[in-house]
Amino acid sequence: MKGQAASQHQGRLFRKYAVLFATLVGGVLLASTLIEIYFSYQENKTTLVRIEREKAVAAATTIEQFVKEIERQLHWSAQYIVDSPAEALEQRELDYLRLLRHVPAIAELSHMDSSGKEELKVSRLAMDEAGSQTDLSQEPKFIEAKSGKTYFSPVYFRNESQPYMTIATVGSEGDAGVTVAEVNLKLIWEVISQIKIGQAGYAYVVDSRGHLIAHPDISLVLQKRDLSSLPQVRAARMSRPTPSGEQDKATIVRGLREEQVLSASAPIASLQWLVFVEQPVGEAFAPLHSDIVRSAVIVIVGLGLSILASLVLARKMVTPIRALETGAARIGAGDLGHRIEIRTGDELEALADQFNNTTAQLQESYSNLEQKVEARTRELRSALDELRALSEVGRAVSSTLDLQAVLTSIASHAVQLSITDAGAIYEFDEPTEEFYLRASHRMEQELVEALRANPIRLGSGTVGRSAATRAPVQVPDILQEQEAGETQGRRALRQLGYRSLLAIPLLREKQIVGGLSVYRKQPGSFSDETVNFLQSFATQSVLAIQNARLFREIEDKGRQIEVANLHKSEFLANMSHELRTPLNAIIGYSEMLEEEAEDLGHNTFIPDLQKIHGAGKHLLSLINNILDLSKIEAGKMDLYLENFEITPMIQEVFATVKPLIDKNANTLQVRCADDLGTMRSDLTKVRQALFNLLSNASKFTQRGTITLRAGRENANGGEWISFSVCDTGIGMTPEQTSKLFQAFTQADASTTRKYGGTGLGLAISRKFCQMMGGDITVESALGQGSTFTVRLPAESVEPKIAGISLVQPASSSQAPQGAPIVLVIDDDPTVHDLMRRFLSKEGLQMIGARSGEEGIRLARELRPTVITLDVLMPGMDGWAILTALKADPVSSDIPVIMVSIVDEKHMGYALGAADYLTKPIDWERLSALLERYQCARPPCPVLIVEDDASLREMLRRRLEKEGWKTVAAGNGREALERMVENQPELILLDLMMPEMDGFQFLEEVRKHEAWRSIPVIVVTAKELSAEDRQRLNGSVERILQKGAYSREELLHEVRNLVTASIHQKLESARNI
Amino acid sequence: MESTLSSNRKGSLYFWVAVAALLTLVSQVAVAQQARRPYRIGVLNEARAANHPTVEGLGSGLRELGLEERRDVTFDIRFTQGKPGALPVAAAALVKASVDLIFTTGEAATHAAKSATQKIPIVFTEVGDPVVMGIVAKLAQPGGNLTGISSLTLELVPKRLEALKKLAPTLRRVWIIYDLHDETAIVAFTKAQQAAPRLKLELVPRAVDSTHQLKQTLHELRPGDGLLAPDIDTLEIPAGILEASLASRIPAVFPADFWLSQGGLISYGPDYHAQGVQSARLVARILRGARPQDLPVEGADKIDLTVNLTIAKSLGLTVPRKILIRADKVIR
Repeated sequence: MKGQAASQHQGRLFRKYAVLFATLVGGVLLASTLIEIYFSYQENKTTLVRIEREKAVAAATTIEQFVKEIERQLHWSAQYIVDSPAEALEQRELDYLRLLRHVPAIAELSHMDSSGKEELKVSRLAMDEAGSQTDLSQEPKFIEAKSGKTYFSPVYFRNESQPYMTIATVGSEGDAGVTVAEVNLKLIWEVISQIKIGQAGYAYVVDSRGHLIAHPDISLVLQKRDLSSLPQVRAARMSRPTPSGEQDKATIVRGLREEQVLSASAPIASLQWLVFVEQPVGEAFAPLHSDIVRSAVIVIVGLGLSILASLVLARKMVTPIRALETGAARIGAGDLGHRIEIRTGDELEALADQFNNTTAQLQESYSNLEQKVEARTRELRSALDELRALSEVGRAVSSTLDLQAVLTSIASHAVQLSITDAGAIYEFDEPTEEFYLRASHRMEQELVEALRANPIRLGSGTVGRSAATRAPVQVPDILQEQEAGETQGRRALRQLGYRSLLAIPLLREKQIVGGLSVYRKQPGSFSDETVNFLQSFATQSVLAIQNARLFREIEDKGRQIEVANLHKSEFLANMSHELRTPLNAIIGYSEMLEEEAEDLGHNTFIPDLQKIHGAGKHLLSLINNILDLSKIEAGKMDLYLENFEITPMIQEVFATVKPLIDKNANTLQVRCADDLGTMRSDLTKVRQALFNLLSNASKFTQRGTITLRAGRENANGGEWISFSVCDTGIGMTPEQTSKLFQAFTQADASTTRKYGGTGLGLAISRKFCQMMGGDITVESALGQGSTFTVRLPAESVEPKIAGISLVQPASSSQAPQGAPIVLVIDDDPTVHDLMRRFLSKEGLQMIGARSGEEGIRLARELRPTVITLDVLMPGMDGWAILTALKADPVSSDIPVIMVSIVDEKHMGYALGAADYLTKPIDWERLSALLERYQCARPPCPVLIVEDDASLREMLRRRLEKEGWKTVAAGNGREALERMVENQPELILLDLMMPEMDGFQFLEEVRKHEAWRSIPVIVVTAKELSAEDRQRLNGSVERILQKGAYSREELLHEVRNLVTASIHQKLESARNI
Repeated sequence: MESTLSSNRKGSLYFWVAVAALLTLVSQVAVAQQARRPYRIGVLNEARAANHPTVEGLGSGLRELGLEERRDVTFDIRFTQGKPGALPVAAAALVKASVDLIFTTGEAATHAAKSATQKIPIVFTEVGDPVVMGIVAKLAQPGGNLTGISSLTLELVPKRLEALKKLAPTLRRVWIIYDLHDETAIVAFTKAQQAAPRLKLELVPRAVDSTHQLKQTLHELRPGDGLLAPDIDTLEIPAGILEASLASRIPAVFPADFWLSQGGLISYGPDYHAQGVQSARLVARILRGARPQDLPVEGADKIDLTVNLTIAKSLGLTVPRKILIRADKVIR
């Protein structure tokens, strides 16, 4: 922009000046010339006119004189004083002859007497005559002359070409006659011809009638032209009165030859002739025109010169200014070495000098500044380096608790920044008062070993001394300082070529922590800066050591706690197993006996057996509750969140609790909303809580109605599921209500006895609900029943996981890069599309594979977080894909969600366990389950894998009672053998077994294609942790049956599962 | 820098333009001042020498008018010395030489020139009656390429006789001798006849066509006769008359004072030199661009009466007072 403006201005000054000068000079020149021309024109015109007039007057005068002379001659000749007329005549003749001789113009002289008769004629051409007595009295010449005036006749011609005029004059006294002369006017011609007016000017004479008498062009005269019509002639004839002719201005008129002429006239009064002087206007004004031309030329030349001069002048003026401008521009652009050269010897030069001075000063100060800046920069850089080093060290210190790494880092940084050749950090051991080498940098192996082997004592060696004096100690040259009792370390240093060293003590509140030393192979002292800098390093080192120590302590303590915890958990687990196993026997056998008794009709045994059963059950529930509670207290109760359908769960609970309800002759009504759908929560705990509530309700109600209501509601910005159990039982007082959830209390101490129960149930249920983010509330009135309401969030999220929000209502359908990947293996592209849409809304990235091979490859490459797998696909079927995925260590632990269109329930089952049962086995539950897994054509073979013989027996009997054909195995290996013999439709599996535990067995089973689809119900005493469950599932999350849902529902389900799986994964990652 | 350059160029441009303009102006002026080559006048007459009075008169007349000999005009003079047949040749030569103007003296030369060219302007002198001689159509407007000075000699014949008679009052008979081929002689004789009665003279016309005849005629002269010399010089008649007059003591009147220096008695006629001067005006005008056809023929201005007193005395004549008074020139 600036450059543009500058170039726009370029040349403007020059042009300005040039134009100014040129205009000025040119203008002045032009103006003056024009004025001069104007005035000179006027003057010249006047002058010319005057000259013309004068010429005319002169001409007139000449002509007049010519004629007058003749006249005079005549007059003179007319005087005689003589005696006789004859003598007079004689005399006259002689006179006339003389006259003829004297005056060539006179061609003839004659005399008339007083009566007009010719007396005498003397002629030049004709014969003389005397006394002819020709009567000429009537002639005008006689008449006029007689009257006294001299008569001038009009011009006539002789011989065609000779102009003549008659002059007649009367004689004076004594002569009464008239003398007549014929005058040859040729001589007037000559006079007229001689009159030269410039080159083309001429004079002519016009007589009183306006006829041309004389003209340089004789032919015109001969033509007897009448010029009376000419304007100048007319004007002249009219303006006769003043003979002096002042009024006769020269006029511009049309001449005789039709050209413009400047005409002036003068009269010859006596002859009544007019003499005209005419000059062609061009010629007349020629001097004027030439004057103008001259002036014009002068003006042009002058203008040219002035333009030249102005250009030169302007250039001269502008050049130094331009030099200033360019110079300033260059200096402004940064070229401070540029000096402006102006040698005009005036103010401009002074200005240029000023510029140059200023520039020189600027240059100097710049260079100074640059130097200063450089120096400062160097300082800053080194300071920055130091800071950086410090911060790195600080980071190192804080990023790792590995003391060794930290110290090494500190040592290396210290060496680098102090520009030394090696460095070391020592830790002080207070008991021994010795410094042990902890970290080194660039130290030769021998030196390290030497220092390691020989710890430095406090007070000796540089490090020891520095620690003792609590101040840095340096040795500029170890060769010069020969210490008595040189340490091994010192010797090693010297041998390796080190010359100077610096030791900084590491202190913490005046307590010695250790030492930092740096070594240099050149002699010389260390600068204060280096010492200070290293001191700050020292401080960092102290902190690091401190931290490390603390950490070590904490780690140790933590480990101790862990060990303690582990012991505790193991104890609990063992306890539960030890406690439960005999209880199982008690409960199981008593039940069996009860049934057999019934079958055999030994009814008397039944009540006792029932009592045993009841007691066993009671004990079991008590143990369960105690274990649960202690687990909760220890914070070891896990939440195993999964998505499950609410309505089936309720139905299950209903089935399970029905016997209890019936026992007290109560009726259970289930009122569920239609849109219950699914919820994400811990299924087992929800079931337990509901069961607990229902059993409580049943317990405290006799012949009443228990209503279970379930509904979904929106509140507090979330979706909630509420289950309410309402009974028409005994109710509670407010006081009782308040004590309700306390462990080991029932509403009343007495109720336990009456109603049974351990008093732990509600407390546990409440804890469960609270863990899941909800709560149990109660409303009750004495004698009017109670309503217990469980409110749980539809999506249970533990606070820890709350931070992770996978549910991103992302505006874009594009999932961010780096989002968890879901690999969808399905041959249906619509599924891909829908899944992508669903999943991207969750902030998940979806990768699709159209075939099993592709899916396996992608799983290996991309390591997705979750895989959904369509079971039935052309080519490799789902099971095979799954096997392959599980076989590959890269992809084996990626959770897989099986999606299947298969109708048959049990064909859709995964390799993993279909369901779980915990010991002691809830036989009701088992029955329910068994019903689910009935085969097409009973009796269905079932394989029981259980190491506990009694339980095994029990199970066998139970199952056979239900109509199953049983095969039993005591361990996994045996089970496999059995399976080979006879493939079962269902497997009941105990996890804790010798020789091949349940997990291993399951894995083996999965390997066989034919066995994959056999549902497995796991029976275990062990509390299954989440990992256990995962293992069981073979990381198979869930089995979905496509047919049971609509596509959207299915995919929705998948989405939920995926999300849940990811949640879980992240949760487990965090817990590490 | 660019603008400096361009203004530099501009400045130079202006400078050179100005110089060019100046030069052009100067050259124009110079052109105007171009020197012209001199006019060339071809002179044709039957004179004996180049310095015929008319030619001399022409020279001085031109000088007066600003045309200097050699600078402005040059003369190419062809005098034929009266040789018959020489005139046409000379005339043709002049025409070939592309002279600007031919200046003739006398009818014969004028005729020859007229025949030789219709383009080159011719100015004649000493032509008695140009119209009668067929040289020009009209005196006022000659037409053609000829103009000049008419010597009026024919008109002056009566006056010549009158002068002779005044000088020799006892004269009774005047012989008029002329060339047979002279056409003007008839006119002259007619004019003389008109005047004769008044002068109481008897006229004797004699036409001769050879010198022999002239001699014979002159023998016939008796005392008491007079002679009228013709204008034209052919056959040397005037010379013969002159001789005879001197020998026989017979008064003769000549047309020009040329003869009086040789012994002629009296002459009345135009001055040759003056004719030349008079003709210069015409010549100058023609040289400067006028056309001969526009310039009227002028009559000779100066007509002189010249008397040779010595011869008069030798002839025993008393010159009367009137003659003396009247005489323009007197030769003693």
